[in-house]
Amino acid sequence: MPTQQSFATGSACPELEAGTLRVYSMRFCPYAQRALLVLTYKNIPHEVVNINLKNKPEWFLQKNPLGRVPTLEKDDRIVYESAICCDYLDQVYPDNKLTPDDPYRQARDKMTVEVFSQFVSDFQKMMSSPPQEKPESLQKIKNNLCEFESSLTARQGAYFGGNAVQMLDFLLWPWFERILIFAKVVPLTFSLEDYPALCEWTKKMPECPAVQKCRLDPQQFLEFYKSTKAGAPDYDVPKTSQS
Amino acid sequence: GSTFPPLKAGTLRIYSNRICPYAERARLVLAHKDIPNEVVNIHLSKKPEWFLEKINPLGKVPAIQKDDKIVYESAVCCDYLDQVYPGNKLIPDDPYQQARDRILVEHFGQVTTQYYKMLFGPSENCAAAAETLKKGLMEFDKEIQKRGDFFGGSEPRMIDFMVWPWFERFHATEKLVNQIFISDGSMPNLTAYMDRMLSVPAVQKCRLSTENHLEFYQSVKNGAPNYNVGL
Repeated sequence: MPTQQSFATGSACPELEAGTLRVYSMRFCPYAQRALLVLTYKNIPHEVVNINLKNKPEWFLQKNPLGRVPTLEKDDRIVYESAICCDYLDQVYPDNKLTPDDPYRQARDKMTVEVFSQFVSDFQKMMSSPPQEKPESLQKIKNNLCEFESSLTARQGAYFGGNAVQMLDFLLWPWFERILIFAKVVPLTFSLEDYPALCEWTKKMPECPAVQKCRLDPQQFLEFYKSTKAGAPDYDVPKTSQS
Repeated sequence: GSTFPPLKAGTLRIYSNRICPYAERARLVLAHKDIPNEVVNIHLSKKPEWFLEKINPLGKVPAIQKDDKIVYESAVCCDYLDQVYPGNKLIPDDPYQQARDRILVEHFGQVTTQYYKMLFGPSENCAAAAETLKKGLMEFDKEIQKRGDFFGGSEPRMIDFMVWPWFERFHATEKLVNQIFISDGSMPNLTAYMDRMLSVPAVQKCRLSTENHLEFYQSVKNGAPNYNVGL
């Protein structure tokens, strides 16, 4: 069973047993966390191999020329891109179905994910730009949050999935988990309190066992984040004694 | 400044633009599956306010509307149409094949990024973008050999309609930017594929000619996009 240590350039690919589902991941990657949430929620047995994303192993680029996590591998089948991985898993492992049955609902959810990727990009810009540039990204972020708030309110339930968690909840969650962590240590220029349904959702989601199992350790995450800002990402931030 | 054109109950409408490759994806699906539809073309540099307010706040085409249902984003429109109108199914049944086809579209997105850099980016980067574009297309030349007459196999499937619109524009682009990236015989499998696609009825219905595309790109470079080329 591979350890949590990330594999880098020059490493050997850990052997994959026939019939075992492996996910190539990175402990702090929100995209990879999407796949881990789905795997965990659906109780799909799997093993995790973490990748050093700054110095990728050559063998990893053979499997995924885009070099990104998450990547799934089982026998000779490889799937990558987080949304594609999640949809694939939901189809191949039909228990605890996460994708809505209704095609229109599916379409609306995918549209929300599209708007959300804009939000992710604006949020990253905001976090990495100097204070004086913040206003423009900030307005876009607020507009996006308003949209998510409307979407969520229209669902008539605590979750984007309505009364139960669905795929869209897991696709969005990793970034909100990080926002909550940042909010405790950095004054964010927006407040989730302004979006009551979203706010409630951020309190409900951590009650979901899959979310708990896949949760980030805030201290480790902040250590990792600091290391990326310093230009030397530490993918193997040691577990603290409290984790 | 225009007003929202009233939509009859039960009519499927596509908000489109004659030269937009993303809208063409949805038009190809509609044509291939023989789905009755009405087209409302949107002027992309002078978008009507009603389009942004009622239909798509992102302001992009394609968008489809029927009664109170609205869908936008080209890939989402295509998937939705395939699910709701089951004849001539375009998405493969096998989940792994579905996933691999979507991954291929993702790879093609890298190709289109280079394409737009070459077309609309600073001219000093044009040759480099063309080189990168060519390398990306080489991968597709290899891939089509594994798959058959079409990326979808023996017949065109969703993957083919998702990538076709840019193949349609390659010859015009080569002329416009004076860079050869496909017409030099270096990718015979892709070239043969492009010829086969030109015989597909949906493509014949939806395509504009190389001359039309060239005329449009020239109008963009001249600062006055002419969305009515070929009319």
